[in-house]
Amino acid sequence: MPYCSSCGQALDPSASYCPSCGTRTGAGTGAGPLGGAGSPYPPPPRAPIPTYLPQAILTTLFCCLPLGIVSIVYAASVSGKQAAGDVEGALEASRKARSWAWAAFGVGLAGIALWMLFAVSSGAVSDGGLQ
Amino acid sequence: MIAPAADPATRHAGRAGRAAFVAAAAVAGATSVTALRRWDPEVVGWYPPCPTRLLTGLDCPGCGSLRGLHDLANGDVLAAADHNLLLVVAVAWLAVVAVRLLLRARPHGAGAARAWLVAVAVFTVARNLPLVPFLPSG
Repeated sequence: MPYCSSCGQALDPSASYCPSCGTRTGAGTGAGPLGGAGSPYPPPPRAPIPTYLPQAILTTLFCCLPLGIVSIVYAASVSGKQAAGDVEGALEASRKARSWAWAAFGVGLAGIALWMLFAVSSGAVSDGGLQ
Repeated sequence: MIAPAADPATRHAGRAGRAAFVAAAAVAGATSVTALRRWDPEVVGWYPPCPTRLLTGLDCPGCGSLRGLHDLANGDVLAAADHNLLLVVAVAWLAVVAVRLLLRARPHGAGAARAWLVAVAVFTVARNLPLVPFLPSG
């Protein structure tokens, strides 16, 4: 199974472009047998796989939800697995770290918006000179 | 041919989408900090409470970060650290990461995620113990 050299998405061997990120795969363009996308091997040593650690830290500290911590756990797993040469596992952990960070962000944002709407509309709280 | 890994949120949108995302995030961040600087979470009531604290009464790793950001926006690092020590560390670390991203360097070392995991765990436990002053969100 070939992989996209940019995002690690598994590719159809005949695809010219990655369906996930649009990077050219090199299939049919004479790219080397090893390495580039379109090769039958997982990508060799490559650019570091994103950990989404900054996003995970942000959501953990500013959303007050445990979802951000799940993201940090997966971020740690990305680094560990890539160091051990498990590219497949690292990419999977990277995707999960991204998903959990965004889930935490979305839930946090929705909660904050709901609370503010409730607090202001009910008039139950001091507006601190807002008006 | 190894392309640089694209930002998660904007990978599908390409360069223009990425620029728009960064601009939107910058505007949202600047607006939030301006509001936080002006309105003290300890005075006005319309900031959201932490759900963890509301439900359990315990300090989560993020408790105090809103008040801490208000302190930071007003230049009071010590008060910010008193509300949430990890927040001050995180803001400094995120600033370093941002600079390294701008320089197109690796954003952080391989051990950073594990270090953060340990830091968050230790901080969460320690700030809920009555023995350790300064760490609770106050």
